[in-house]
Amino acid sequence: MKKRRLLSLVLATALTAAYLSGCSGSSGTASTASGSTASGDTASASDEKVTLSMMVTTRPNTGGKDFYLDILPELVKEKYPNINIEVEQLPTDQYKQTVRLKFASGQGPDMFNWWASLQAKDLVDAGYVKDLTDYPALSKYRKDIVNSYKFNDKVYAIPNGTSFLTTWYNKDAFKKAGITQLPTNWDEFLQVCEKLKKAGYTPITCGDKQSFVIQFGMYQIAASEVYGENEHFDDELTSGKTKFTDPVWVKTIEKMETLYKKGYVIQNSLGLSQDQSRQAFVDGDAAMIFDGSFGYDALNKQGKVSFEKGMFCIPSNDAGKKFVYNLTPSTGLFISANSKKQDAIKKVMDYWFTEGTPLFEQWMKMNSDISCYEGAKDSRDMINEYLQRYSNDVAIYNCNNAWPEGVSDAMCSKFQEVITGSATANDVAKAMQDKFDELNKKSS
Amino acid sequence: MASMQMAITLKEKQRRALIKEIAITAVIAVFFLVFLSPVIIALSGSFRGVRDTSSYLYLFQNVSLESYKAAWGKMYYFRSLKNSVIVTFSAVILLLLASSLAGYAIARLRGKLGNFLQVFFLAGMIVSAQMSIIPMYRIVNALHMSNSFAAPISMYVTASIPFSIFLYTNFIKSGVPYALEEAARIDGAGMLRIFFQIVMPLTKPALVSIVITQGVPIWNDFFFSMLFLSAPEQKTLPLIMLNFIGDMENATQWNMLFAACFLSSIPVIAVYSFLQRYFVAGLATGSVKG
Amino acid sequence: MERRSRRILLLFIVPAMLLYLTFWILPVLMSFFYGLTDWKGLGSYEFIGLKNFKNLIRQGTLVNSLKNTVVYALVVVLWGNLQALILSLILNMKLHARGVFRTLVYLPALFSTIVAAFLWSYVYAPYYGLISEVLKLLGSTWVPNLLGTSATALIAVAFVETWRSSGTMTIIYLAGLQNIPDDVIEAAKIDGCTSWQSTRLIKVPMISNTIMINVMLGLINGFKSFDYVFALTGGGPGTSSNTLMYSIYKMAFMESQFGKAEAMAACAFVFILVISISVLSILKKKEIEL
Repeated sequence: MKKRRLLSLVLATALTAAYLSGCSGSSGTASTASGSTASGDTASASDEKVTLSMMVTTRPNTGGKDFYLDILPELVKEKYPNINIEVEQLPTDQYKQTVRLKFASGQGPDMFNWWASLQAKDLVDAGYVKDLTDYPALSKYRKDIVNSYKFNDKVYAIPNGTSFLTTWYNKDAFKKAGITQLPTNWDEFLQVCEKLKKAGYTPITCGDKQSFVIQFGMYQIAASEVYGENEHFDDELTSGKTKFTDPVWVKTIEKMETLYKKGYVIQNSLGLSQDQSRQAFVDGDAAMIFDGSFGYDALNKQGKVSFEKGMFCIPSNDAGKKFVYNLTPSTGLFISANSKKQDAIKKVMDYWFTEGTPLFEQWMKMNSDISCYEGAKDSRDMINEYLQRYSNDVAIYNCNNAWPEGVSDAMCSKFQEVITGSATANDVAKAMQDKFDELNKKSS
Repeated sequence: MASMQMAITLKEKQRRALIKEIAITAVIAVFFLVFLSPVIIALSGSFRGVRDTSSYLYLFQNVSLESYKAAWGKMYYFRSLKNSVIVTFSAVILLLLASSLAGYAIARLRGKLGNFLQVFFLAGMIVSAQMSIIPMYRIVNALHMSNSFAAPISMYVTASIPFSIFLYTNFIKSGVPYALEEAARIDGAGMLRIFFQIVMPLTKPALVSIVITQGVPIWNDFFFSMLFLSAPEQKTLPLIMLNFIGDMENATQWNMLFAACFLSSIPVIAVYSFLQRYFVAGLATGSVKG
Repeated sequence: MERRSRRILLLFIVPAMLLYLTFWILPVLMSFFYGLTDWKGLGSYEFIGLKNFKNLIRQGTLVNSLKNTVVYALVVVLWGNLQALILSLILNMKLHARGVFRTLVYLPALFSTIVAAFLWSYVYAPYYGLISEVLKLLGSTWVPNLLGTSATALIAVAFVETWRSSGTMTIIYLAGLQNIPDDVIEAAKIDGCTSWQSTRLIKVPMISNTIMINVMLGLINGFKSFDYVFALTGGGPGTSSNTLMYSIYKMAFMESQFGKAEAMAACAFVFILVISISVLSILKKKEIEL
């Protein structure tokens, strides 16, 4: 043991020496040594080598360059040859665990992407992330999205954009089943399902084996059902004025349950994964799937048969009641408050978030989220058309943005029992409330 | 005349043995076909275009090398291979040394201490790294080891120590006669010499078992490398393969992942098929007799 | 002399012990300490005594996952060992294709957990899965939904674990079979033993020590089961395949109840340790009787 520590010490010393003498041969392998370059005064720091660590979640692509892995470090290097960005990419589950772990032991990344609202609260409370309220470019982003990164009147992130949950449907199947108009309320939606079923289609496919998929349908239904009457439901939930066991949520869960009871959802959905369910839709085996704007690539593939695809948000409102659709902030860029390299971070950010710079243009082009930057248009027509269609309606974020992490999982796994027939909508609501109380108590 | 007859029956016997062997081989082959059907699905999946997600049971249709090409490029294969080899090789060597020395000592320690130590190390098998990861991470940081290969190597060695010691101790207790060592000691050999020259050669099957049962999981694991290596240049093969894995919003690139999986298994299969030769019946006892 | 060699033996244990204490035992003790706090994994925490333990018992999380874990471990130990024992006996036969088969049997272990889980989701899936397709070919209209049915999900997951670990267990059995001297088998043949008799009466008893190793391995892996539950069912449907380690993971990393999770980990640790040591001592007694 001792020997190895000695060895790593010798190695570190040697590398530091190499850095100090300005030897540029070793390109960034020594992230340990780069820490020695403190920010210092700005004038002399401009030439010093700085390595910034950045963490992002994996968004697998099949070819070409990746924005975070390739474009960002390359363009920054071009503009600031002394700034080296080391990007670490991990799948969501591992990502959440690793980022928290790194911050908890004082080694958080300099820049990282993280989720909005309650999910970021503990990082903010612990003082790990930097207050960006006065960052000038923030005024250019959609206000309600920026606000979802606001805690105690301070904004902590630059939004990467938005996404929405939606119902993808097979236009050809709809036509063949004699459906000429998209449904505008819950009864019409049920009629659509019935017509599809009568026409021999499986109306809806769900990959319920991966229980998180249940959220995709549930939050669309909750949008109109819960928030149509009371936009402040979630604030009141925290104060205890509203509860999951209130009729609005029980009705939401019951509406979801109806789809299974009436046989509109594919049989044995609990055995199907999200991939398999998406494939069932793409192959034309099922006419609708609860998914999101993020499913754009996966669902626009060519399957066994080709057909035209469309999207609509489940109108769970009863006839004559208000319709609300889902639109939610995706991740935002957070900055570590304790990083000693704030000057370099600022340079990168100014380059990145200034309209017209090559980096900004690339970011707008390659971002898979729907940009919420002033005047930005999405490159995907289907998505533009969708947002245009609902532009006069009220939008609500994903419900779990307002919940402590763990409540959505309680909802999903209990709803699996509803599908198997061993629990009721009331049980789900109660499980959610119990989990909410348990987790909320601790955070107060 | 008697010898003639014997020759015929011998030939007849050989023929029968051959037929028997062919039959047995065929039966086993069929069994493996079923047993390995998931592997066949993966193999066929790896030979698909990157965007082809049609049912994976359509085996070897539209064969394409696209996924291999894409995976190869995105894996930085040789760089990652080098890192994997450094981590796995160092970890396995250190593991063999540490666990065989300790395992031997525990087997030969008489009395309560030996029994206690055996249970003490065995208890470590129950620990799952996931559960104690925050303290582990802090200790590694306090020792200034993070961001160097020393961190994952130490963790892999440690994580494998409990089972390796258990296996080695049991092998010695049941398979290596004490008399041999005693004789060597009477001849004046030191403990280290006895261990390296007499005991170690006798325990080859146990050592090979440790290499295979612990080395392959280390090769395949990304957990400790993920936590302790963050520079792109240091990434190992399984760590870089995480780049193909999606989440509830982004689909995993399965075909590329399959291709990557086979690419990263090739070195292991090569080493393994070499090592499995050590499992020739009678090897251990042969040396004991000699 | 005796005392000196004992001291040297103790020195042999030092390297393994140092690693083990620093990177394994110390973190475990530290995390048990967190079990007495309300730590969320981030920020400050308060000492709350035994409150976490009381909550665990009151909420009944412990009992359900404990029950599932025991079922899972039983399947892994029983089926896993039976399968590996048969495989190792077959692969120990003197066949020309033996080397190939020994490589094939280890193939499942070469895949990462994530890939193995994906492959099996394609074996199990209703309509689109391998089992469903085969049944369809045979003219059956029954659509099996093994992972999506509360009664079968847990066992289906455990089966994947035995598939994945079969290579490892078989290797350990093969190593054990090396320890049987050839002349013993020869002598039995001369005495007129059929191969079944020599297997049952000689080979199996003579590798009882190896059986013990594998039973322990299966038992502890079964108790620690996490990866396949995580990747295949996420504990579902409902909580029907929720195991101890999966519940702990969920608590710690999905609900940020790190303190409570460590309290549960402490309970799990004690439970597994007690069962493992009891099984170990029973097996050792049996071994002496044999």
